[in-house]
Amino acid sequence: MKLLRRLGTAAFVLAALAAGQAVVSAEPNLNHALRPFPVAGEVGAEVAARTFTARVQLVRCAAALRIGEHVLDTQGVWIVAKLRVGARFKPTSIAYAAARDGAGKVYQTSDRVSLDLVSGGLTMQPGLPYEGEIAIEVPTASAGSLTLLLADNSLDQRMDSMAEIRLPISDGSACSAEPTTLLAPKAVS
Amino acid sequence: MLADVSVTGQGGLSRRLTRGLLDQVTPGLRWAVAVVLLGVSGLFGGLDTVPEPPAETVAAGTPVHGGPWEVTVEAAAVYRELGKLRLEKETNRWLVVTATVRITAHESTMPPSDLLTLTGVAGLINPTPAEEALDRDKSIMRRLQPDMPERILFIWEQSGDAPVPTSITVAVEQRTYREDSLSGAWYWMDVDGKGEDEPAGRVTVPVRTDLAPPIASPSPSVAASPSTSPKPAANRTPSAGPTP
Repeated sequence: MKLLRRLGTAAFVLAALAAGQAVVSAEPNLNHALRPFPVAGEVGAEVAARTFTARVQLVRCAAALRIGEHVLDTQGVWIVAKLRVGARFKPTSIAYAAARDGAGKVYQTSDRVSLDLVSGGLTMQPGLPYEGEIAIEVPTASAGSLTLLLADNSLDQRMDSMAEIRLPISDGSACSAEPTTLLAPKAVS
Repeated sequence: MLADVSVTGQGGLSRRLTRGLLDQVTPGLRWAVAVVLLGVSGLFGGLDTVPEPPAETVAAGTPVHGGPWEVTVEAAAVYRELGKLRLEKETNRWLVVTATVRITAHESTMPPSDLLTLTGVAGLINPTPAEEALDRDKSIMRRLQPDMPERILFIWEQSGDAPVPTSITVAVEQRTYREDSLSGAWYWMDVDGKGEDEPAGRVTVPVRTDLAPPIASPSPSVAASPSTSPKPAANRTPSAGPTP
């Protein structure tokens, strides 16, 4: 009887430990639990994140960028997106822009070129949107499965809204071989 | 087994008494035995921290996986002049290690300044490189993209009073993806949390001294960020922003 009681106690403890482990394993880790809140949209449609709005107007890709007298090549391709962005309720900046491919790899905007529109360098006032182009270098094989990610915090995007806009590029190998230029940000009415 | 042993060897009463005594004593006895075993083990080093095995030393051209990056050290060379970089003393020299860095993490990563360290080289002005530049256009290395390998020039300044090395050993820093004990979030961090990890690997590479400077005459049409000073400068990144 005593032995049975002890076995029962041990079984109960093991069951409690297993249940605890199952609860802990339900989320991959804390990063996943604190992930950004996606606000999805398509090219041509305005996406409203918590502090800003964004619309991808056009997308193209090229083998190189021409910035002034400089030509920036890449071992992949440059994805160029024309954006219209604006602050919603108070002066704000977009300080994070990246492209996520179908495998979940995230390519941030290159710091080989200065992109004021999405690097936090441009503070937008509500009601005064800006248009301009940004560029992200990605592997050629990833170009056909990209989603643009935009957020207002460059360091920590957790637990905040993030604009996610699918980029309709069908084939990275069909990108222009000629260097392309970028439109600098400008205020639009 | 123990409960069957009789102290007196006489009758059921003594057997029951013995069993009762052992039932009382056994749990404490187990703990005592465990503590004694641990103590004995400790005397012979059983509780010592086990040191990490020394990093493997490989030949140039062999990839070394350091967690969020994979580094292939390819060559090393010494130069008296290097484009527009300026030595602290004219008698010093540049020591350049060429390596291909591939980001294996799932997102863009800025490698640390001590990604590569040199051992066995006398007279380094600074243990971390004075400059880290992309070989493709000689612009400053900053953020690298996943699965887009870049050949990087890691540049140290060495005192002219020190001997020119014939070969050097390059240590590749490593990180591990682990939970931050403070926040509970997961990051690429030092393996031991103290920054005293063994490197992911060491690479021995011969040093050449008979080469033409790699960035003596950057082509204006190719060089995205001409190397004009030893440190990153604001005007070294082409701008697509509005003109002030």
